[in-house]
Amino acid sequence: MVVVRDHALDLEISSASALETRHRQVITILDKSAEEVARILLPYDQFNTLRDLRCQVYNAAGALEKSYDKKGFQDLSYLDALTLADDLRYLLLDLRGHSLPFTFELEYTYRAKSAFFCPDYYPQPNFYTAVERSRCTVQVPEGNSLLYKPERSPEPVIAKGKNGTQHYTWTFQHLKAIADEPLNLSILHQAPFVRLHAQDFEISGFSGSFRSWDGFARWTHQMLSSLPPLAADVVSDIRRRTQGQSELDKIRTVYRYVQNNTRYISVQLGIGGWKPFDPNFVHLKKYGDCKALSWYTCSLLRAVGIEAYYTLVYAGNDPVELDPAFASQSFNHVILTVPTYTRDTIFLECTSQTCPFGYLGTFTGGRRALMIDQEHGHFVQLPAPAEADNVRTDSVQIQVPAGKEASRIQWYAGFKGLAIEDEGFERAARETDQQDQRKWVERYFNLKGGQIQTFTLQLDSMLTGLPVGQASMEASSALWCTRTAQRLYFQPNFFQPWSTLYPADSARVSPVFRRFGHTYVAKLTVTVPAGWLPESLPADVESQTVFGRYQRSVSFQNGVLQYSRHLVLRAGTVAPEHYPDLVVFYKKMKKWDSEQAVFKQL
Amino acid sequence: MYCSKAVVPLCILFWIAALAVQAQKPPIKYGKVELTDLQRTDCAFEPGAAAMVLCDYGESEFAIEGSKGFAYELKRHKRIKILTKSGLEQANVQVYYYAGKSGDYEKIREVKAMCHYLANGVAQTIELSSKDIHTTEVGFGVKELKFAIPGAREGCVIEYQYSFVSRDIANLEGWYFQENIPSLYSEYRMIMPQFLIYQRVFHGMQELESAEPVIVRRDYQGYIDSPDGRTERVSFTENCNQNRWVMKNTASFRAEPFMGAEKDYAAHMEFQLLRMEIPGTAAQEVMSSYSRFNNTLLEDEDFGKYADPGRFEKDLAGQIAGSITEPRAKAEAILAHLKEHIKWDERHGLFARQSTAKVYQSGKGSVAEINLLAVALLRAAGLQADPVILGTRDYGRPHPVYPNLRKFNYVLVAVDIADKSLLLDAVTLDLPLGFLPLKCLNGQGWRVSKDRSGFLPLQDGAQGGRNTLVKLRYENEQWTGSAVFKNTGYAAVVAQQTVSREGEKAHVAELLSDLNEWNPAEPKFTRVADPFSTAVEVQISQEKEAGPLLYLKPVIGGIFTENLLQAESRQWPLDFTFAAGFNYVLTLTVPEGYTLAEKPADQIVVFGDKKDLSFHYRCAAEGNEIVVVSKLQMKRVFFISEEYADLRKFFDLIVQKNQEMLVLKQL
Repeated sequence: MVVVRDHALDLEISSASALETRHRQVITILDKSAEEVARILLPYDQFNTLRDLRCQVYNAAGALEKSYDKKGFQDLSYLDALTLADDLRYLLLDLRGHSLPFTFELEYTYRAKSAFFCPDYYPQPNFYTAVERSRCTVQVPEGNSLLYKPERSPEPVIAKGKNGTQHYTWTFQHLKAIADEPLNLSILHQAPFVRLHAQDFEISGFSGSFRSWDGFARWTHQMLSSLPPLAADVVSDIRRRTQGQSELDKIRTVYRYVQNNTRYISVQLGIGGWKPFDPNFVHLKKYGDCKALSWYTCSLLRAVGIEAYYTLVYAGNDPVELDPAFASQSFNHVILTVPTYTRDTIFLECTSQTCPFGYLGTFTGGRRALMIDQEHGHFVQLPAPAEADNVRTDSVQIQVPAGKEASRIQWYAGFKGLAIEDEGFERAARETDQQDQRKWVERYFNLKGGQIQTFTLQLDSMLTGLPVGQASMEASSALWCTRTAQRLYFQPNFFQPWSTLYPADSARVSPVFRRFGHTYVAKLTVTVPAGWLPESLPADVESQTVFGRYQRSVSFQNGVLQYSRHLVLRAGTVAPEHYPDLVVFYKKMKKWDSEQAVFKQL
Repeated sequence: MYCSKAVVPLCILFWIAALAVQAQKPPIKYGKVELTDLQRTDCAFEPGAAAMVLCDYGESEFAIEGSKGFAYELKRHKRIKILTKSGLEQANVQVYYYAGKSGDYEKIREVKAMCHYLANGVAQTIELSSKDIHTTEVGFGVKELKFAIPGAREGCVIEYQYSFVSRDIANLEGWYFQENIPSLYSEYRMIMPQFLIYQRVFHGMQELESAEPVIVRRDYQGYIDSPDGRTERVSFTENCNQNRWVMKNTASFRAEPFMGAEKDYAAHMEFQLLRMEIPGTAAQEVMSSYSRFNNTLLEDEDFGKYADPGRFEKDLAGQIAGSITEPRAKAEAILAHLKEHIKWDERHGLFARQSTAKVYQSGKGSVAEINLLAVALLRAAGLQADPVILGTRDYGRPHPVYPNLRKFNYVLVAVDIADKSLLLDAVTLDLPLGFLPLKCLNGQGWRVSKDRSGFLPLQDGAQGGRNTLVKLRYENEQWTGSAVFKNTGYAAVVAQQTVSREGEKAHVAELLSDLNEWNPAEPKFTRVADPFSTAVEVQISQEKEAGPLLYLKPVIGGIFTENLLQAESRQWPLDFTFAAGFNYVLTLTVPEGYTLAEKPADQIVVFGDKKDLSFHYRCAAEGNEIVVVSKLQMKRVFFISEEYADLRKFFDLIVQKNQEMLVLKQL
């Protein structure tokens, strides 16, 4: 648990190319679980510099234990394997280790070279954080006004200041801590916060505005138009490759060409954090980041007469919703929108050499994105396949011999739609080498006492529509079932058993949220030796809840056991009062999936 | 099993083939790539690889860097074939080096890179522009040089070259012949002046081709630091040994679960400076043997001398343990005090950077600072104590004969009480006396001492156990009872660390997570100090309709339900860290009106010639009580890869046996 004793954010916007933010926080760390907050990381880069940095630590009795200034912070870079260069660095001060509970007072000021870098105001930035007092003031110059959008927050107090400046103030008191509940909405959907933007900004010579989405789109368009066009030889080459092809085939050819001829490398230096590289650079060097690769692909498509648009999106697990009435910089990724004459709009992820054609997946699917069309920004809804289209199927056939030898097993696993992302299937099928694929197959099938004889692993990535993949294997195993003196028994659903459980919580606050729906199909056919009959079989079951549906049927005829289990998990938001039903549903599914089938010899 | 051999000139080992050394051109020429390499589509000795090293060539020489003393320069030229898209990451190159405070302790220069590819059957090239080479300050004096080779695509051949210059001649960069892609050819040449005597150690099972060293003459001029501390100008021409080593057709290195540090296993050669016999100056021993190594460390201000108690330590020891007479209690008090007052700052390493008083005052210290201070305090309290140095599990293991400072990154405390040496750690919280942090259970450590130096085993006798006691009865259509899960030894240490890190609730939830069908209620967590153990006791129940038959799996939890060895084959030896034991006992009261119809058969399975793994399963009906016992004892933690298939089968049998059911029939 963390308590914010006092928090003040003072923002001064002086012009389109200058703003200053002063932060002051007094935070008490109560226990070990909150220690991460005591690891202070302050990013800075070419446009945002840190100054007036001070930190003081007080012990439980309120006595000053330690004082730090900028020199006490470590200066570190952060580069991952795919980032070549990034002028983003961090100042780090690690206060963990002070005896708990302790309080620290942290002050710092950011000077930004552009009003673009206007921070949002988060009085309660994390779960398990109580807030005693928090305040934000924003000062804008004469003739300007602040663009703001309160979320679960009141309107500001607006007053006139010296020299015609305008002041906006928000205050909060006594915010109760919010728990991080399972399957919940992010903190941004539960805690109060205020989006803030300056009306106009200028950065490295490119001007833009947040007054409207078109103002923001114009800025992006300016940067894109400043790039040189594709060289003539590149244009003629791509035209030659797509000559005589249908609209759809042209798009596929260009996409495959980009996938076969580029790779993802991130370079974020200066305005390069927002402005893509010259597409000719990408063509020559054969690498780029999401901006460069998307713009390069866009240029290629346009060269062969296909309309394509540079599209900004927030990728990842907790997307920020775009509000048509309030423009903001809430993007971290770029894809392409390709409207077509003959079919549904196609969206292209340009950073992966192996991504199936038109597939967005959980990374960017199921949310709104901003398509840049010259000086206008249009919203597009990025599709997410429905629960009936995201299907994982495991179909197993087993022949049990009369004697004590191993049973023969044939196992087919199908992955459709978003299910290709399950269990690392997509990566294993497309990106790893033979040895790693074998290891994946052993881990996925995880057959007790099993010896895999043959296997296949395949993902069709050039289909139109949803991707479909499969893995299959043939094996033998004596240990998948138990044979005793009198009986033969096993857990029919040994290959796709439900295992997730959540603790009961009658005081739940957040709605239960699942972004994508899924369908899981488990089928088993077991041929038992002659003279063996069922002594006990799991009963047929059906359960319908607002969270999903579980259905199971078991039958035995002519020496063959048929087991079929169908589970659907629904996407959507459900009120917190129904959470206990979820807990019960999951518990029941775990129990049903673990039930045994018992056979006895006559 | 890795095999360390000192490659000493003139010693002929049967698998080392003879190579010529002199007048040899480098194996590849920058910019010239064979058409056959461009046309290659797979790696012959490792089909399905994503990429392969065509040639990795290194050349090292020594020189005097003007006024800065000796340095060596490693020129490297590497050529890689990219076979599939997942091999493209080979075209992203990063090199770390330690620039240090001066900024030039180590440096990289003359970086060149290019890509060769076929366009319509014709070879083309594209070169790396120097503008696209980026150097970043990582922090702590370390720099990172990175570049992405342009034009890389499936089927291309990339190559790069650079020069690495370093003043750290005591610890030369090792040369790895093996890496995580297969390597067709790897060659390392070294011109070593005869006045710098190095110990070379080769690790690996592969065949290494080695040439007879050839004597060449080299000039050395510049300023060096002589042994008595003066800087003097030297100029001489001396004999050098020109060496050459080659390894061919090396399979890729793959990490596997339950193994030690990866870098210990991949085939490589290491170098440690033993002695300097610079002409015109007195000979200087550097690190020739463990006894020499021991003495060097003893004399070091930031290590051996740091652990000698001074005024500050004597006063502090008096404060903490002055009134305690029993030696073990003294040691406990001192360690408890340090754990209370000093927090670890997450730095490893062997040497202290601040004085003991400063460390104590600031309340923060590195592993070396805290444990060396512990040694000092124990000595001040009248106990015999010494530091013990080791490499942690993910860091690597030191060589048993040839010391290398780079192989050690942790310091422990050895204290002698009543004819026994106890190994202690004042860094890790919630670690009872006599236990080591898990990461330290790694082979042997070296006790640095005036008269008690030597290797101490770290993993011997390390064990941990899980004892589970379950009682069940059936009444009112419900199974009810209790379960106690007790962790002993290192299993208790792991449990305690979870409790300290995440809280009791989290630990209990984790432990009971497999028991959900049994509705665990009223969990109680307890801890016993001596012998150290933790336990969780819980009430359990499960609804079960009374029918003509009742099935019950007697083993409900407390033991693994899946084989931890999932892969079908294994290359490297296994190391399970500590010997584990699992004892499970169920006592079941046969319900009224029922009788036992079938029970699992008794079974004993042993593994290994010495039966160091054994599994006992027994189910006995005595009166109206059924007792099921499932015991797994593992007395050994190290296994060679040849044992893997049988080991995996052994665990499969245990997992399967623990799934068997009791069948009760209504009378």
